[in-house]
Amino acid sequence: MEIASTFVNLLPVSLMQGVIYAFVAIGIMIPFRILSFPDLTSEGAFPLGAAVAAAAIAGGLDPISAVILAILAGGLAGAATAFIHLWLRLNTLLCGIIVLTMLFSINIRVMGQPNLALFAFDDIFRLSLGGAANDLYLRIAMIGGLVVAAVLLLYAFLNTEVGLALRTVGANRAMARAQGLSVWRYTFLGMGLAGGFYALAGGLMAQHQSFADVNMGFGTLLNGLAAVIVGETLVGRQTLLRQVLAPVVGAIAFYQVVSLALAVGLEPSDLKLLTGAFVLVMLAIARRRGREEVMRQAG
Amino acid sequence: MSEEAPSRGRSTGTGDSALVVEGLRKTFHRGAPTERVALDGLSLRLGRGEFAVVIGGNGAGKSTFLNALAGEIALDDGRIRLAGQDVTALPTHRRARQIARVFQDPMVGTAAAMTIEENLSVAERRGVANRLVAGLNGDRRRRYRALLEPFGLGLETQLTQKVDLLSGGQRQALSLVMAIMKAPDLLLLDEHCAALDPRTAAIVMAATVRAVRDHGLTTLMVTHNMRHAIEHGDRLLMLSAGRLVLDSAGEDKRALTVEALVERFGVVDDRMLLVG
Repeated sequence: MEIASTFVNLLPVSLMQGVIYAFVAIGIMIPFRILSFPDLTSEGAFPLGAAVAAAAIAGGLDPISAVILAILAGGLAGAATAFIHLWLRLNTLLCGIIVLTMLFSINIRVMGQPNLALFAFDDIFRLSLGGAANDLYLRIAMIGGLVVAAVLLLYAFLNTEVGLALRTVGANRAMARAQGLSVWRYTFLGMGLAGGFYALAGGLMAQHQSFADVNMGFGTLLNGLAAVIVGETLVGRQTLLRQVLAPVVGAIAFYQVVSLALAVGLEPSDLKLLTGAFVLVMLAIARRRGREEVMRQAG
Repeated sequence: MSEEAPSRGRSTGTGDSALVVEGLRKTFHRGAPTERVALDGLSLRLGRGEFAVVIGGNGAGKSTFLNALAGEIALDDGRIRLAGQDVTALPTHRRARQIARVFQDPMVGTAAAMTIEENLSVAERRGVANRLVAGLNGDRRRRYRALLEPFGLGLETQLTQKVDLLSGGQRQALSLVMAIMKAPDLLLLDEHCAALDPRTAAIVMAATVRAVRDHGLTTLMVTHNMRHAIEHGDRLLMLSAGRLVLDSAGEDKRALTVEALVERFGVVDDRMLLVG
């Protein structure tokens, strides 16, 4: 009974986490599922978005411009990872590690210190919701609306000629070249887009908690990946629409699981271990299912 | 027969040649024990609308030649001019406006994770800038259905199906449509029927011949199938050790038989006899 009530009490908090992390999950879905470019940049681009937004707001910029600035910075980070991979032909994961490590220093430079509090400033919530800004459910609705808009826009974009070209580069590079598509251009585009989503989430999180910290990116990738995998289990990925919706549904569902784990009495510090184990189990199930599929087709 | 005469072809002057290839050289692993000369000063002219079939044993340089034309490998020496324009230095994707290619492996020419209509939409924009407008609409779908229908493989009824659910033959038919839906200056066919079952190979081959003739496409078709080589094309080219050793056209080509080829040039390789 106590578990249930703790879970319900945590609901607004976990929903808010879910809608903000939905942007990270959407971002992660782009390289992992559309570009075939396993990418770790989120670990650095999420705090980059937070740092840029926080520094901008503290510097007197309005909250919306601050978020846009964060998105642009994240796009640059994603493009940097893409560039290292295309230029030196390094493994994409190594490119991501190099960029996220470098971003740690950059993020401190951006803020001028390892963390920055924003309690004294107007943020995007106070700007849009006014006196009701402290109502967590209104915040959830607001960010949720943004998520829906982002998903619709992304879905429409992926169905344009440019979007189809982007997906072709991810699906089959040899064919993409033969069809006149520049692997460089579309890898930049996709990774820039992904980086923008990571940083957007960071920029919103910093304003939601009125605080940015250089260490807030730790675990971003695994949380986002877990969200993508959960979403794909629930929604599937047979069609593009499902593929685009999966990260959102997955992010919200995943943070309910997290909150359940906390309600059961686990410490927040246990969550990284649990998330890792959770992702491994899901991947093992997916692999087993894939093998059965292959067996069926062969038989 | 005009064997041993690489450049005699039926060239009608640079202005009218769709493809002019001069002195292509490529050596792989230069200086290493595995050094291999793949192209040894290969020259060739193809007239506009000419359909040339390329044969040759393993290691004769056929694949290297095709890859060089497509832009997939950097040459040691030589020039490639397409429709009057020097494309030697252009990467693959910058040549795609002029060159279309069907690969031997049906998996290479199509995007498995995308639907049939999405693949076609990408192919329809080959070589031109993509726009931020919907890649598919009713008009495009109608045209795609009309393009796929003649194959009789049922592709036209499953436009929204993902390509990875198609058979190899269906994928190859789709690859062919994607290559010719926007008539290229040069069509490269890289043993495109070799991986198919005989019935599907016949369908795809017939569609290829029809398309090449109807659109007057300048075509280079590599094949191991001696019968295809004899039956199809205006011109038969044989490569050996990176050089052109046979260039036969017109009456000369029509008089060729599989037996005559084997007799003159010996067994080129076992695979050619098996499928011949």
